[in-house]
Amino acid sequence: MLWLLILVPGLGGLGLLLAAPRRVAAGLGASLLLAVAAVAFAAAWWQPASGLSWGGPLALQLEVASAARFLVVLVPLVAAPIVLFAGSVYREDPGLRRLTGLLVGFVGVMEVVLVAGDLLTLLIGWELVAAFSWALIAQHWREDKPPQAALEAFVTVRFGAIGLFIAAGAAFAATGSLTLDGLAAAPGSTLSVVAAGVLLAALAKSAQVPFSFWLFSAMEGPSPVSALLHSATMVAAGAYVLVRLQPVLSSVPWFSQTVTALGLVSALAGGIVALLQTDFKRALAGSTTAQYGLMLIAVGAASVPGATAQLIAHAFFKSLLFLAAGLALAVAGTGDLGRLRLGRPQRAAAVFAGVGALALAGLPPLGGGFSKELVLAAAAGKSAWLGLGVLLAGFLSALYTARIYVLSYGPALLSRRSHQTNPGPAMDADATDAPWVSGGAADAGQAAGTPAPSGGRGVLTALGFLAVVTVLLGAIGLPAVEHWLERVSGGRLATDQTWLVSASLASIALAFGLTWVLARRRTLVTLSLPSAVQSWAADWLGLPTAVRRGVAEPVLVLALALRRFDDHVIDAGVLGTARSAVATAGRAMLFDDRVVDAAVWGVAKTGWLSALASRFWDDVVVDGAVEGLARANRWAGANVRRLQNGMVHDYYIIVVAGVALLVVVTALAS
Amino acid sequence: MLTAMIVIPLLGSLVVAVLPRGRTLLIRRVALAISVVPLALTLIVWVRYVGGPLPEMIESARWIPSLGVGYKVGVDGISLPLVALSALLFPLSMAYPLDLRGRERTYYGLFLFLEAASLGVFLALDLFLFFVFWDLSLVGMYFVIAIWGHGDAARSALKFFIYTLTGSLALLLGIIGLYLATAPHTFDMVSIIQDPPLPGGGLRAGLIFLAFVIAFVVKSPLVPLHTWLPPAHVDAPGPGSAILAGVLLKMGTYGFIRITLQMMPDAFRRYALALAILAVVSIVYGALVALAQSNLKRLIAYTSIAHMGLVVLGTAAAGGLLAGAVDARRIALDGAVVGMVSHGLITGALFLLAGSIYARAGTYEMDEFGGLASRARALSLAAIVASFASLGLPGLAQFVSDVQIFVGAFAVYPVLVVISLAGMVLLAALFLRMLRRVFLGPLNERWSGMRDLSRVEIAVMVALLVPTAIIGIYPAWLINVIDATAKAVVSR
Repeated sequence: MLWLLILVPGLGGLGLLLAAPRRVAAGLGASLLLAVAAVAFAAAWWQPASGLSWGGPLALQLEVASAARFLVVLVPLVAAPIVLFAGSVYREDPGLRRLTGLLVGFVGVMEVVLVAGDLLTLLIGWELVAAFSWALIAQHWREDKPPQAALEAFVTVRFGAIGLFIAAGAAFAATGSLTLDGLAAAPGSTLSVVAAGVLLAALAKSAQVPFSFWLFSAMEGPSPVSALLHSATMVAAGAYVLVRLQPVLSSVPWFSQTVTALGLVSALAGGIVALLQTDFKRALAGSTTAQYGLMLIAVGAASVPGATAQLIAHAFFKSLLFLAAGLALAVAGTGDLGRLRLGRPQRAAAVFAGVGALALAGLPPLGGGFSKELVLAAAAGKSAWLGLGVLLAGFLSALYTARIYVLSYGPALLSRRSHQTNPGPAMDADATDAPWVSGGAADAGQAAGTPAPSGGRGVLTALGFLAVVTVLLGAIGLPAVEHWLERVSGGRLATDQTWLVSASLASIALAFGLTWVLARRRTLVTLSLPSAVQSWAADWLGLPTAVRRGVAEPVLVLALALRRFDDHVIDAGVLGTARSAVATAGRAMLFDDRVVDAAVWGVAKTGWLSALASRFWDDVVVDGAVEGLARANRWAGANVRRLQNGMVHDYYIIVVAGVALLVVVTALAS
Repeated sequence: MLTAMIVIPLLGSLVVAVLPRGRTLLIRRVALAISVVPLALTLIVWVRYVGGPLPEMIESARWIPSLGVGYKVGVDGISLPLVALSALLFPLSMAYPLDLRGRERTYYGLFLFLEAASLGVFLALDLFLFFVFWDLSLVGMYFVIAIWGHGDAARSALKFFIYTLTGSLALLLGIIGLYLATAPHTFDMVSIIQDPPLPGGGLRAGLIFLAFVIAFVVKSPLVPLHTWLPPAHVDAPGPGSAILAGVLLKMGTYGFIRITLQMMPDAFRRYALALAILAVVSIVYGALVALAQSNLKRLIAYTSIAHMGLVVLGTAAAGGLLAGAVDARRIALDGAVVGMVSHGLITGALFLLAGSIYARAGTYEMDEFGGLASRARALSLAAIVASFASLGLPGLAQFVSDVQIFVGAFAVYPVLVVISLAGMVLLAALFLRMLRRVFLGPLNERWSGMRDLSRVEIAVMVALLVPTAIIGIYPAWLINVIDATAKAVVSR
């Protein structure tokens, strides 16, 4: 059954990619994903296990455990409306088949991560997820930027994957096994290495500071790709693996504090970036980092169910918001928050997006609100300062969400008042989807003039489905569901405290009020900040530039320097020594054949005949350095002719010479 | 049966040489038919192979008994995968289209000759025989580069020849040194492996070991004796490069396992750390220099150095301890052999594709291309799959080897593994960068008339990349063959 979970979307995606008629590709894909969700439900219920020997001591192990029991179902369930949306918005696009096929396949490889019962299987899924992301981000490969953006995302995530290799190596060295369950038997020092490796991998995958910048590169992909990548696949893999391994890794002394601290930094920094961004999708991307930061805090505070709840709730509302952003791009042809006022023309979409926004803002009784409260309670239970930090992160998320929503799909009244052109940074990503949806945009453009919804039925179905699930997830607040979460994912939730809930609600109210004031002052886009400051902060606080200047460029410079070194020093060094040796030896030795000598002296150089060599050393060094190059051409020319004429003859002389040498050497040695 | 695998292509090269000149198609067909025979025989051998610590299906004959030289061939878990790889790569490379400049008979004859020599190296169970085949392969490759190469082919071929000839000489010294250390004197590899001479190491063992290391470092090649490789590859014709990288380089890494590890375990353990460091330097340095290349073929050539470094790292880890961590070292050795096979398939494909590009464009400079995927879909798809395979994507063969080597070697050299993992990131970066520069992005109008792969080229790509995927998805059939021998090697 677990193999089906992987093979159905995997092969189905391939089939869609190769053979599906474009008109029905999305519908087929979505239906297929619903079927996968059904299989996943059965798998989560019965929890079968499976395995496959890879030869020798290696084997793949599949199982459904802990948080994966929710997530195996969640992934296809989130992906289905996304595929439907893609088919509707991009219905005229020639690349739709590839997009659909890859999105469906993406689900399959994410399932590999979720059902992995050992580090090898995990690593396989981990890297495949990255490769699918590469292909999806580079969906518009005919343009200049997407291939480069895909490269950045892949390389960043692969840097993290080093951690999983290290974790696997350490685990195997200590326990002779790669299974996740076997980790419990590993000694503390090994677990420490495993924890470091897993944490590195998870940070890169979940776009936490300092790896958060790759999510901005990923914005070159079409909106459905972002919707899936940020919610249920790529980014989710990082948080999932921490959730899954928290029970084992929490015994490592430094683990919990470090995860918490990194999560808090990401939650706050991501919040600031999201707040200052003027591009719809990038603002949401900043918020992704922030929300996963909250999950890390929950893991650090030993609240596995809290992190799981946050992961589940986030998947639905974030994919909903990204689809809304995609619709905005298709309709308005831009993602610039200063130029979107879609509240009136896109009324239905605005309502659905509003549900997602309220969930992201953390407002109960939506699932996103309850899950945030769970994280907050866990954090506050750990320390008051941490609780305060989470409160601040929650306030930021309510603030940036309100700002993004008002500027994009906000009520007409507010948006008219905040109507202004953005004097700040000109974001380059605004036309990402535009050339791509020429057909869809034309349709949507007509609809934009009327109050009727646009983008076709598929769009509204997708948005509606995700919005309904987001509302239903309010069940997370029910005690029965909380117990269920605890039982399935393992671990305990912290007890909620009334004053925490009140403080959190007050912070949301404050954020909404502040947004209202800013909107009335018409400074919601620029926030009255100097544009240089805003653009610096919005561009991940200068992180991409820092990485480019501090890592990418130095590596390239080093590589170029080494290339020169390789061409001029190593090559010339080895050959030059050989050449000058040949020349000198040609005069000195009885053998007149320079090829023989070249071979002899090549050996001499490395120490075999160092005693003999010392006699000629001065000649070699002095002569060789000066005359080496001049001789080279003459020598090479002469020997090309020589070799081609009498090679066999020469060759046997060498063999004879070799035997003679050997006798000397063996005599010396023994 | 094994003898036939050597003799048939050898005789075939003579047959091809006497076919009437000008009958191009006939020459090609006869040559291809002959070249496929060893592949068919390999399949039979694979099925009949039982698997165990010692070579099987041994065929032997007296040759020069007074010197202890005999004709002896056989296969074990280390050599069988390499025999299969060679038997697959030769027909595919020969089938790959190339402008033969009117010298069909020489070309196909030489390739058949090379095929016999290469199979001979991997099948030989006598050191003298091993050396003879080793050197014959060298001669064959020299002519392939010199005659059908481009650019400064004569010079590159000569450089290749001189370099590897020096290596050969070192090999010969090592072999004779080892021979003199056995009592009674013998070249028989099986008996040397079962009872390795020079226990405990010492100066004499160290010197002999050094001779072998020089020979294999040149052949593999590892930094710093690698500078013959890039020019040889750049100027060699595509199929020549594929054989050079796919088969000939493996002789070096095979030698590391077969001779230094198996015949001199004590000396190997003593110097394993140095060898592992050399390997890691090759991985990181090879990947970095590859990153800086603007020439497609040089880029692939330098990634070969990195991949061979990885294989040697696995080998060094396997022999790095005398006892303990048996499973880990066994995995490392499995990974080393899988790495040779996967590198042969993948880099073979990459070099053939580079040859196809050169045949269409007359250049390897990556910056002159751009957006080829718009015009040549099959070519681009094959290049993307091969590139991802080479950078170690799961589901394709190289990953299997990577993960085995890294996980296995970690138990022996954790720090070196961490350093070499940096090479993996670099490999990803440089391959994706190559894809971006050559195949993706807007189409450079200069290539708007570029032909896609022909049917033969596509068939060859499928024949290389499908096994790559099969090994990547379900490698047990391959690993189990290797493992039966590897287990014995590390737990002697």
